[in-house]
Amino acid sequence: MADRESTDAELLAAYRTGKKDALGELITRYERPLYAFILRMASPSDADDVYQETWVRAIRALGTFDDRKPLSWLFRIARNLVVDRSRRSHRWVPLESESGEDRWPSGRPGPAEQAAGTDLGVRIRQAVDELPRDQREVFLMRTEGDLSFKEIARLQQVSINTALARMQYALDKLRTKLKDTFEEETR
Amino acid sequence: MSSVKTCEAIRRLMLLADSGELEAEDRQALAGHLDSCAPCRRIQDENRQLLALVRTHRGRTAPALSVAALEGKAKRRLLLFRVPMMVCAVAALFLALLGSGQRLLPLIGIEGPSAPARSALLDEWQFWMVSSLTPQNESTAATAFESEWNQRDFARHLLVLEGLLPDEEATVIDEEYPESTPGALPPITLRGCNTPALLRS
Repeated sequence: MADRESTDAELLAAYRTGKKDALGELITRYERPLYAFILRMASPSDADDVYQETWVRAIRALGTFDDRKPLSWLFRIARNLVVDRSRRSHRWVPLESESGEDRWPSGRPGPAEQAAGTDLGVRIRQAVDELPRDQREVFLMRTEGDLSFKEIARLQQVSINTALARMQYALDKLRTKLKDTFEEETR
Repeated sequence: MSSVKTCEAIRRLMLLADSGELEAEDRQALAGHLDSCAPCRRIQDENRQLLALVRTHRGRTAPALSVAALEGKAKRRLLLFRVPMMVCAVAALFLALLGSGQRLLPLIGIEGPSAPARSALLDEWQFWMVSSLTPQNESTAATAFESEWNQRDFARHLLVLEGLLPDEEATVIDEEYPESTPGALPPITLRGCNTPALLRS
Protein backbone atom coordinates (compact mmCIF):
# COMPACT_ATOMS: atom_id res chain seq x y z
CA MET A 1 0.00 0.00 0.00
CA ALA A 2 2.82 2.35 0.91
CA ASP A 3 4.57 1.74 -2.44
CA ARG A 4 1.45 2.51 -4.38
CA GLU A 5 0.89 5.73 -2.42
CA SER A 6 4.41 6.93 -3.05
CA THR A 7 3.98 6.13 -6.75
CA ASP A 8 0.85 8.25 -6.85
CA ALA A 9 2.74 11.08 -5.23
CA GLU A 10 5.57 10.65 -7.71
CA LEU A 11 3.16 10.72 -10.65
CA LEU A 12 1.57 13.90 -9.35
CA ALA A 13 4.98 15.46 -8.85
CA ALA A 14 6.05 14.39 -12.36
CA TYR A 15 2.91 15.92 -13.88
CA ARG A 16 3.54 19.17 -12.05
CA THR A 17 6.98 19.33 -13.64
CA GLY A 18 5.43 19.03 -17.09
CA LYS A 19 5.35 15.29 -17.78
CA LYS A 20 1.94 14.76 -19.39
CA ASP A 21 2.26 10.98 -19.41
CA ALA A 22 2.16 10.94 -15.65
CA LEU A 23 -1.42 12.21 -15.67
CA GLY A 24 -2.37 9.64 -18.30
CA GLU A 25 -1.07 6.94 -15.99
CA LEU A 26 -3.05 8.29 -13.07
CA ILE A 27 -6.21 8.37 -15.20
CA THR A 28 -5.69 4.77 -16.23
CA ARG A 29 -5.00 3.72 -12.67
CA TYR A 30 -8.18 5.21 -11.26
CA GLU A 31 -10.41 4.79 -14.28
CA ARG A 32 -12.23 1.68 -13.06
CA PRO A 33 -13.04 2.58 -9.44
CA LEU A 34 -13.84 6.20 -10.21
CA TYR A 35 -16.07 5.47 -13.17
CA ALA A 36 -17.84 2.60 -11.41
CA PHE A 37 -18.58 4.94 -8.50
CA ILE A 38 -19.87 7.71 -10.78
CA LEU A 39 -21.90 5.30 -12.89
CA ARG A 40 -23.89 4.16 -9.87
CA MET A 41 -24.21 7.57 -8.21
CA ALA A 42 -25.17 9.68 -11.23
CA SER A 43 -27.68 8.89 -13.95
CA PRO A 44 -26.23 6.82 -16.82
CA SER A 45 -26.61 9.76 -19.20
CA ASP A 46 -24.61 12.03 -16.87
CA ALA A 47 -21.91 9.53 -15.93
CA ASP A 48 -19.53 10.24 -18.83
CA ASP A 49 -19.81 14.01 -18.35
CA VAL A 50 -19.28 13.75 -14.60
CA TYR A 51 -16.28 11.48 -15.13
CA GLN A 52 -14.65 13.89 -17.57
CA GLU A 53 -15.52 16.91 -15.43
CA THR A 54 -13.99 15.24 -12.39
CA TRP A 55 -10.65 15.08 -14.15
CA VAL A 56 -10.93 18.62 -15.50
CA ARG A 57 -11.49 19.90 -11.97
CA ALA A 58 -8.72 17.71 -10.66
CA ILE A 59 -6.29 19.17 -13.22
CA ARG A 60 -7.31 22.70 -12.27
CA ALA A 61 -6.67 22.00 -8.61
CA LEU A 62 -3.56 19.85 -9.01
CA GLY A 63 -1.30 22.77 -8.18
CA THR A 64 -2.67 23.01 -4.68
CA PHE A 65 -3.43 19.34 -4.13
CA ASP A 66 -1.42 17.99 -1.24
CA ASP A 67 -2.79 14.59 -0.39
CA ARG A 68 -1.38 11.11 -0.67
CA LYS A 69 -4.76 9.65 -1.50
CA PRO A 70 -5.66 10.77 -5.00
CA LEU A 71 -8.59 8.39 -5.28
CA SER A 72 -10.18 9.71 -2.12
CA TRP A 73 -9.74 13.23 -3.52
CA LEU A 74 -11.21 12.22 -6.90
CA PHE A 75 -14.18 10.60 -5.19
CA ARG A 76 -14.79 13.82 -3.31
CA ILE A 77 -14.76 15.87 -6.53
CA ALA A 78 -17.08 13.37 -8.24
CA ARG A 79 -19.41 13.27 -5.27
CA ASN A 80 -19.69 17.09 -5.23
CA LEU A 81 -20.36 17.13 -8.96
CA VAL A 82 -23.14 14.58 -8.65
CA VAL A 83 -24.69 16.56 -5.79
CA ASP A 84 -24.47 19.79 -7.84
CA ARG A 85 -26.11 18.17 -10.84
CA SER A 86 -28.78 16.69 -8.69
CA ARG A 87 -29.53 20.08 -7.15
CA ARG A 88 -29.62 21.77 -10.52
CA SER A 89 -32.13 19.29 -11.80
CA HIS A 90 -34.30 19.98 -8.72
CA ARG A 91 -34.05 16.44 -7.55
CA TRP A 92 -31.88 17.14 -4.56
CA VAL A 93 -32.58 15.30 -1.32
CA PRO A 94 -31.24 15.87 2.19
CA LEU A 95 -27.76 14.48 2.73
CA GLU A 96 -28.72 12.57 5.83
CA SER A 97 -31.65 10.81 4.24
CA GLU A 98 -31.85 7.16 5.09
CA SER A 99 -35.00 6.37 3.21
CA GLY A 100 -34.86 4.27 0.09
CA GLU A 101 -37.36 6.46 -1.76
CA ASP A 102 -35.76 9.86 -1.41
CA ARG A 103 -32.39 9.31 -2.93
CA TRP A 104 -30.69 11.02 -5.84
CA PRO A 105 -31.45 9.86 -9.34
CA SER A 106 -29.78 6.53 -9.64
CA GLY A 107 -28.31 4.90 -12.67
CA ARG A 108 -31.06 2.41 -13.32
CA PRO A 109 -30.43 0.50 -16.51
CA GLY A 110 -32.79 1.22 -19.36
CA PRO A 111 -34.20 -1.45 -21.68
CA ALA A 112 -31.25 -1.11 -24.05
CA GLU A 113 -28.77 -1.52 -21.22
CA GLN A 114 -30.68 -4.48 -19.86
CA ALA A 115 -30.57 -6.14 -23.24
CA ALA A 116 -26.87 -5.45 -23.58
CA GLY A 117 -25.85 -6.50 -20.07
CA THR A 118 -26.04 -9.91 -18.48
CA ASP A 119 -29.13 -10.70 -16.46
CA LEU A 120 -27.05 -11.16 -13.34
CA GLY A 121 -25.19 -7.90 -13.87
CA VAL A 122 -28.50 -6.08 -14.25
CA ARG A 123 -29.90 -7.65 -11.09
CA ILE A 124 -26.83 -6.65 -9.12
CA ARG A 125 -26.93 -3.16 -10.47
CA GLN A 126 -30.62 -2.78 -9.69
CA ALA A 127 -30.09 -4.03 -6.15
CA VAL A 128 -27.25 -1.55 -5.60
CA ASP A 129 -29.26 1.27 -7.14
CA GLU A 130 -32.13 0.61 -4.78
CA LEU A 131 -29.96 1.29 -1.75
CA PRO A 132 -30.46 4.65 -0.03
CA ARG A 133 -27.92 7.16 -1.32
CA ASP A 134 -25.70 7.30 1.80
CA GLN A 135 -25.48 3.51 2.02
CA ARG A 136 -24.86 3.19 -1.72
CA GLU A 137 -22.08 5.74 -1.48
CA VAL A 138 -20.32 3.91 1.35
CA PHE A 139 -20.78 0.58 -0.39
CA LEU A 140 -19.31 1.87 -3.67
CA MET A 141 -16.43 3.71 -2.05
CA ARG A 142 -15.54 0.54 -0.22
CA THR A 143 -16.06 -1.99 -3.00
CA GLU A 144 -14.99 0.07 -6.02
CA GLY A 145 -12.49 2.46 -4.51
CA ASP A 146 -11.18 0.20 -1.77
CA LEU A 147 -11.23 3.22 0.53
CA SER A 148 -10.81 2.62 4.22
CA PHE A 149 -13.74 3.38 6.53
CA LYS A 150 -11.70 6.20 7.99
CA GLU A 151 -11.45 7.82 4.56
CA ILE A 152 -15.11 7.18 3.79
CA ALA A 153 -16.13 8.74 7.10
CA ARG A 154 -14.01 11.80 6.28
CA LEU A 155 -15.55 12.13 2.81
CA GLN A 156 -19.08 11.80 4.12
CA GLN A 157 -18.29 13.99 7.13
CA VAL A 158 -19.67 11.43 9.55
CA SER A 159 -18.18 9.32 12.32
CA ILE A 160 -16.48 6.04 11.45
CA ASN A 161 -19.27 4.21 13.32
CA THR A 162 -21.87 5.82 11.06
CA ALA A 163 -19.90 4.79 7.97
CA LEU A 164 -19.66 1.23 9.33
CA ALA A 165 -23.38 1.15 10.11
CA ARG A 166 -24.23 2.33 6.59
CA MET A 167 -22.05 -0.39 5.08
CA GLN A 168 -23.64 -2.96 7.34
CA TYR A 169 -27.17 -1.91 6.32
CA ALA A 170 -26.16 -1.95 2.66
CA LEU A 171 -24.73 -5.46 2.95
CA ASP A 172 -27.80 -6.72 4.81
CA LYS A 173 -30.11 -5.43 2.09
CA LEU A 174 -27.97 -6.72 -0.75
CA ARG A 175 -27.59 -10.13 0.88
CA THR A 176 -31.35 -10.41 1.18
CA LYS A 177 -31.98 -9.30 -2.39
CA LEU A 178 -29.18 -11.24 -4.04
CA LYS A 179 -29.00 -14.28 -1.83
CA ASP A 180 -30.44 -16.63 -4.44
CA THR A 181 -28.15 -15.14 -7.05
CA PHE A 182 -24.87 -15.62 -5.29
CA GLU A 183 -25.83 -19.00 -3.95
CA GLU A 184 -26.44 -20.12 -7.54
CA GLU A 185 -23.13 -18.59 -8.61
CA THR A 186 -21.12 -20.38 -5.96
CA ARG A 187 -22.67 -23.79 -6.60
CA MET B 1 -13.91 -1.91 20.92
CA SER B 2 -12.17 -5.01 22.19
CA SER B 3 -14.50 -5.37 25.17
CA VAL B 4 -17.62 -5.55 22.98
CA LYS B 5 -18.75 -9.09 22.32
CA THR B 6 -22.21 -8.82 20.81
CA CYS B 7 -22.79 -10.20 17.31
CA GLU B 8 -23.74 -6.70 16.15
CA ALA B 9 -20.37 -5.30 17.23
CA ILE B 10 -18.55 -8.29 15.81
CA ARG B 11 -20.09 -7.62 12.41
CA ARG B 12 -18.53 -4.15 12.42
CA LEU B 13 -15.21 -5.68 13.34
CA MET B 14 -15.60 -7.93 10.28
CA LEU B 15 -15.89 -4.87 8.06
CA LEU B 16 -12.85 -3.25 9.65
CA ALA B 17 -10.92 -6.50 9.26
CA ASP B 18 -11.70 -6.56 5.51
CA SER B 19 -10.54 -2.96 5.10
CA GLY B 20 -7.33 -3.62 7.06
CA GLU B 21 -8.24 -1.19 9.82
CA LEU B 22 -8.57 -3.66 12.67
CA GLU B 23 -6.10 -3.55 15.52
CA ALA B 24 -4.39 -6.74 16.70
CA GLU B 25 -6.38 -6.90 19.92
CA ASP B 26 -9.70 -6.64 18.06
CA ARG B 27 -8.54 -9.18 15.51
CA GLN B 28 -8.15 -11.70 18.29
CA ALA B 29 -11.58 -10.88 19.67
CA LEU B 30 -13.08 -11.32 16.21
CA ALA B 31 -11.36 -14.66 15.61
CA GLY B 32 -12.45 -15.89 19.03
CA HIS B 33 -16.06 -14.92 18.40
CA LEU B 34 -16.17 -16.45 14.93
CA ASP B 35 -14.86 -19.76 16.27
CA SER B 36 -17.84 -20.05 18.52
CA CYS B 37 -20.61 -18.27 16.56
CA ALA B 38 -21.97 -20.05 13.50
CA PRO B 39 -24.43 -17.26 12.42
CA CYS B 40 -21.61 -14.67 12.37
CA ARG B 41 -19.41 -17.05 10.39
CA ARG B 42 -22.20 -17.52 7.85
CA ILE B 43 -22.70 -13.76 7.52
CA GLN B 44 -18.99 -13.27 6.98
CA ASP B 45 -18.98 -15.89 4.22
CA GLU B 46 -22.06 -14.41 2.56
CA ASN B 47 -20.60 -10.91 2.68
CA ARG B 48 -17.41 -12.09 1.02
CA GLN B 49 -19.34 -13.95 -1.70
CA LEU B 50 -21.54 -10.93 -2.27
CA LEU B 51 -18.61 -8.52 -2.62
CA ALA B 52 -16.83 -10.87 -5.00
CA LEU B 53 -19.99 -11.12 -7.08
CA VAL B 54 -20.48 -7.35 -7.23
CA ARG B 55 -16.83 -6.80 -8.18
CA THR B 56 -17.00 -9.27 -11.04
CA HIS B 57 -20.17 -7.75 -12.51
CA ARG B 58 -19.30 -4.14 -13.06
CA GLY B 59 -21.16 -1.85 -15.44
CA ARG B 60 -19.86 -0.36 -18.64
CA THR B 61 -16.26 0.80 -18.94
CA ALA B 62 -15.11 4.37 -18.66
CA PRO B 63 -14.81 6.50 -21.80
CA ALA B 64 -11.24 7.07 -22.99
CA LEU B 65 -9.93 10.46 -21.94
CA SER B 66 -7.20 12.45 -23.65
CA VAL B 67 -4.87 14.37 -21.35
CA ALA B 68 -4.49 17.15 -23.93
CA ALA B 69 -8.28 17.55 -24.24
CA LEU B 70 -8.72 17.61 -20.47
CA GLU B 71 -5.96 20.20 -20.08
CA GLY B 72 -7.46 22.34 -22.84
CA LYS B 73 -10.83 22.27 -21.14
CA ALA B 74 -9.28 23.09 -17.77
CA LYS B 75 -7.43 26.09 -19.26
CA ARG B 76 -10.55 27.40 -20.96
CA ARG B 77 -12.44 27.17 -17.68
CA LEU B 78 -9.68 29.06 -15.96
CA LEU B 79 -9.97 31.86 -18.53
CA LEU B 80 -13.75 31.92 -18.25
CA PHE B 81 -13.34 32.33 -14.52
CA ARG B 82 -10.49 34.82 -14.64
CA VAL B 83 -11.89 37.29 -17.19
CA PRO B 84 -15.04 38.18 -15.20
CA MET B 85 -12.91 38.36 -12.06
CA MET B 86 -10.55 40.81 -13.76
CA VAL B 87 -13.44 42.93 -15.04
CA CYS B 88 -14.85 43.07 -11.50
CA ALA B 89 -11.44 44.02 -10.10
CA VAL B 90 -11.03 46.84 -12.65
CA ALA B 91 -14.53 48.12 -11.93
CA ALA B 92 -13.87 48.08 -8.19
CA LEU B 93 -10.58 49.93 -8.70
CA PHE B 94 -12.31 52.54 -10.87
CA LEU B 95 -15.00 53.13 -8.25
CA ALA B 96 -12.41 53.39 -5.50
CA LEU B 97 -10.43 55.97 -7.52
CA LEU B 98 -13.59 57.89 -8.28
CA GLY B 99 -14.49 58.01 -4.61
CA SER B 100 -11.07 59.13 -3.49
CA GLY B 101 -10.89 61.59 -6.41
CA GLN B 102 -14.04 63.32 -5.23
CA ARG B 103 -12.46 63.82 -1.84
CA LEU B 104 -9.37 65.28 -3.49
CA LEU B 105 -11.28 67.77 -5.67
CA PRO B 106 -11.56 70.49 -2.98
CA LEU B 107 -7.84 70.16 -2.27
CA ILE B 108 -6.99 71.13 -5.85
CA GLY B 109 -9.50 73.97 -5.89
CA ILE B 110 -12.38 72.31 -7.70
CA GLU B 111 -15.63 72.34 -5.85
CA GLY B 112 -17.26 68.95 -5.74
CA PRO B 113 -20.68 68.13 -4.45
CA SER B 114 -21.10 69.13 -0.85
CA ALA B 115 -21.41 65.75 0.79
CA PRO B 116 -21.94 66.93 4.39
CA ALA B 117 -24.67 69.35 3.31
CA ARG B 118 -26.41 66.61 1.36
CA SER B 119 -26.09 64.27 4.23
CA ALA B 120 -27.61 66.78 6.63
CA LEU B 121 -30.36 67.42 4.11
CA LEU B 122 -31.15 63.76 3.88
CA ASP B 123 -31.24 63.41 7.65
CA GLU B 124 -33.62 66.29 8.00
CA TRP B 125 -35.75 65.12 5.11
CA GLN B 126 -36.06 61.75 6.76
CA PHE B 127 -37.07 63.37 10.03
CA TRP B 128 -39.64 65.49 8.27
CA MET B 129 -41.09 62.51 6.43
CA VAL B 130 -41.47 60.64 9.67
CA SER B 131 -43.03 63.56 11.49
CA SER B 132 -45.48 64.20 8.64
CA LEU B 133 -47.06 60.77 8.74
CA THR B 134 -50.81 60.76 9.20
CA PRO B 135 -51.44 61.00 12.95
CA GLN B 136 -53.23 58.09 14.53
CA ASN B 137 -54.85 59.85 17.44
CA GLU B 138 -56.08 63.21 18.58
CA SER B 139 -52.95 64.11 20.48
CA THR B 140 -50.58 63.56 17.57
CA ALA B 141 -53.06 65.25 15.24
CA ALA B 142 -52.93 68.38 17.35
CA THR B 143 -49.14 68.29 17.41
CA ALA B 144 -49.02 67.95 13.65
CA PHE B 145 -51.43 70.83 13.24
CA GLU B 146 -49.40 73.10 15.52
CA SER B 147 -46.20 72.27 13.73
CA GLU B 148 -47.62 72.80 10.26
CA TRP B 149 -46.25 76.33 10.04
CA ASN B 150 -42.75 74.94 10.48
CA GLN B 151 -42.95 72.95 7.29
CA ARG B 152 -42.76 76.01 5.10
CA ASP B 153 -39.75 77.26 7.04
CA PHE B 154 -38.23 73.87 6.71
CA ALA B 155 -38.63 74.00 2.93
CA ARG B 156 -36.71 77.25 2.91
CA HIS B 157 -34.10 75.68 5.11
CA LEU B 158 -33.68 72.89 2.55
CA LEU B 159 -33.13 75.45 -0.18
CA VAL B 160 -30.52 77.19 1.96
CA LEU B 161 -28.72 73.91 2.55
CA GLU B 162 -28.77 73.16 -1.15
CA GLY B 163 -27.16 76.54 -1.77
CA LEU B 164 -30.15 77.75 -3.81
CA LEU B 165 -31.13 80.36 -1.32
CA PRO B 166 -28.63 82.35 0.75
CA ASP B 167 -29.40 82.70 4.44
CA GLU B 168 -30.07 86.41 4.24
CA GLU B 169 -32.56 85.92 1.41
CA ALA B 170 -34.69 83.53 3.38
CA THR B 171 -37.47 86.03 3.24
CA VAL B 172 -40.55 85.57 5.34
CA ILE B 173 -43.51 85.14 3.06
CA ASP B 174 -46.68 86.97 3.75
CA GLU B 175 -49.08 84.13 4.20
CA GLU B 176 -52.10 86.17 3.14
CA TYR B 177 -50.54 87.43 -0.09
CA PRO B 178 -47.56 85.24 -0.95
CA GLU B 179 -47.35 86.48 -4.56
CA SER B 180 -47.01 90.12 -3.42
CA THR B 181 -43.88 89.54 -1.34
CA PRO B 182 -40.98 90.92 -3.39
CA GLY B 183 -38.29 88.36 -4.20
CA ALA B 184 -40.10 85.53 -2.42
CA LEU B 185 -40.22 82.05 -3.76
CA PRO B 186 -43.63 80.57 -4.32
CA PRO B 187 -44.92 78.89 -1.17
CA ILE B 188 -44.34 75.17 -0.82
CA THR B 189 -47.61 73.33 -1.12
CA LEU B 190 -48.14 70.57 1.40
CA ARG B 191 -49.29 67.21 0.28
CA GLY B 192 -52.62 65.83 1.39
CA CYS B 193 -51.05 63.27 3.65
CA ASN B 194 -49.63 66.07 5.81
CA THR B 195 -53.06 67.16 6.89
CA PRO B 196 -54.03 65.51 10.16
CA ALA B 197 -56.73 62.92 9.66
CA LEU B 198 -58.99 64.37 12.38
CA LEU B 199 -58.96 67.80 10.76
CA ARG B 200 -59.76 66.31 7.37
CA SER B 201 -62.87 64.67 8.75
